[in-house]
Amino acid sequence: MILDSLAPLGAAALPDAVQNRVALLAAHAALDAQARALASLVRRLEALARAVPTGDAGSAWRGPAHTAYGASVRELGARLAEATAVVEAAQVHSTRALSTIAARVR
Amino acid sequence: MSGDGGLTISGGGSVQVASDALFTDAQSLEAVSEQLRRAVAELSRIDARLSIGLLQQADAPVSALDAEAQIHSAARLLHAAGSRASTIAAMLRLSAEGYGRAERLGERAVQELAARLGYGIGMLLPALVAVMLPALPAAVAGLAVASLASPGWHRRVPGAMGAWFADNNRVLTNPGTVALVRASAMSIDDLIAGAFRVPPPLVQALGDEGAGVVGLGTSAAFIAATGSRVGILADGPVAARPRVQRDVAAPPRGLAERLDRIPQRVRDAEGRPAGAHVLVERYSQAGRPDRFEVYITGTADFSPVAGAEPFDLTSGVTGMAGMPAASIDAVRQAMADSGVTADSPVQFTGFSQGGLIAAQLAASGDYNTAGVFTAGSPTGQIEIPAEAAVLELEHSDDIVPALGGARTDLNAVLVEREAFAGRETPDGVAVPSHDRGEYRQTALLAERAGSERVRGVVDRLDDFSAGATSIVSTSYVAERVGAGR
Repeated sequence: MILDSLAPLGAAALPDAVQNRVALLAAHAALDAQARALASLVRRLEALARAVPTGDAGSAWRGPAHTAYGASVRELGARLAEATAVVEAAQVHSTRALSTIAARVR
Repeated sequence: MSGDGGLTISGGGSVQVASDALFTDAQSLEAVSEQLRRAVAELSRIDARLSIGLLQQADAPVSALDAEAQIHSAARLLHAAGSRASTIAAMLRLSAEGYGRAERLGERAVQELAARLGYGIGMLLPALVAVMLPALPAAVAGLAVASLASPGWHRRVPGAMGAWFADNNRVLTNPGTVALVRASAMSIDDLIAGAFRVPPPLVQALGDEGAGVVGLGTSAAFIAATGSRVGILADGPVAARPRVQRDVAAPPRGLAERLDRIPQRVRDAEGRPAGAHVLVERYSQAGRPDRFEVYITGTADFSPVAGAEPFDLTSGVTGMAGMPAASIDAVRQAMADSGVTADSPVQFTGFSQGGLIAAQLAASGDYNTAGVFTAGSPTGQIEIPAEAAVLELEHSDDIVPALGGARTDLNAVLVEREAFAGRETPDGVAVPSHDRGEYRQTALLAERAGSERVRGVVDRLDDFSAGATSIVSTSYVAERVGAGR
């Protein structure tokens, strides 16, 4: 994106080493923001998982419909947990990529 | 269907009926679905920040590309989870709607059956009277002897009946009995029509099951008119006078506090009636017109013979007939004395007959009604303007609300609870489920309800008096003028 903004100034004409350095810095900044945003999202999703109903919906409701409801809600909880784990993995990979790029930036 | 708090919620402009727990779950799932939709949008924004092109230019490590792939995968999973949450919430709402429609259909079927039964019994009444006619002289002689031996025995009949029901209170404290009472109340007009041999198609066309021209109101009017011919249920003029005026520190918050402010008629040590009938609170605030909340007590005298006490059975019957009952007139007088005009914003709170009066006054259109809160009141057939915030508490094992017949007003939010579900009834109380203390407990449960329908109305009731800088409360006592008893 930084490269895109430099394009009108003739960034394409810059030496390769400079261009690579600029790209590295832009990628570092973007990955840093991405890792932070993903970490924040993981926290929100974990809080959201606690807001999913238990599937009980009252002690007096019993029968097949109640059982089906309970199963549906549990499945929703499992799907949310799976999605949260994937977001967490994306955050871990972003942080790992950030460390690698940070080493190259120094 | 009932939830953990034992509350069942209906009304609020919808046919849905479900436990508070079920409505709360549906709301939670809708909120989760909305949050997941936002999470997907957030992932999309995160993804847009870092293009593959930039990663290639920066010769980014594989882990950065893995992160990209996982962001796409997470977005798909979150989208699916959001859809799932939304679907489950919709199914819950649908089941509440189905339950509500089934309940209404069931009620209608029972009502139609009760109407036919009532009509049949009504047709047989003249024959039954003819059969019993030979025994009439003996019965009259018996009553005459009873009167001589024990003067005023007829006044003790309600007390004796009350004592029997107090010893056998499970008979009345029963959802089955309540359903029967509700159906019976709705079929009195059919019974009367049967007795007078009105053609069945005409009865059906004009009755509750048809155009609704005749129904519970006309039945109550018929009973009051017939009763007044034999010296009972004869209403008369009333006079209300202010009793105590005082400043109040804060307006009421919630439902239980409102119930606590309703005055109570009791008997003092000498057996004389004490306490007020009506309490009017005036809320003043600079830059706003004065607002009023009117608290109305319940029935204080169950004798069918009208006496000085205007909050009695006679007022209850005439009030249900939509006639100018003494108790209703007493509240109107108290309101006028407090300065309530047709334009003053007013809110009504009533227990038992007090709730019936509250609903009647709100429905009359004579007042600028902002809200109505009733507990244990026979208000089923009264339609309150939809602009008002209306919340009604009913116990499904309390026969008093059932006397008001089937519910027609879908705008009022109805909170129901079986007061004595799974526990013993107290000894010596004829209708324990109609006790104010039991309704206070239900009010507390309703205040804690998660259903947005209940919370919305409670908030509106509370907002009415919020911000008042001066609150003056005036209690009123009423007396029927020139009462014979």
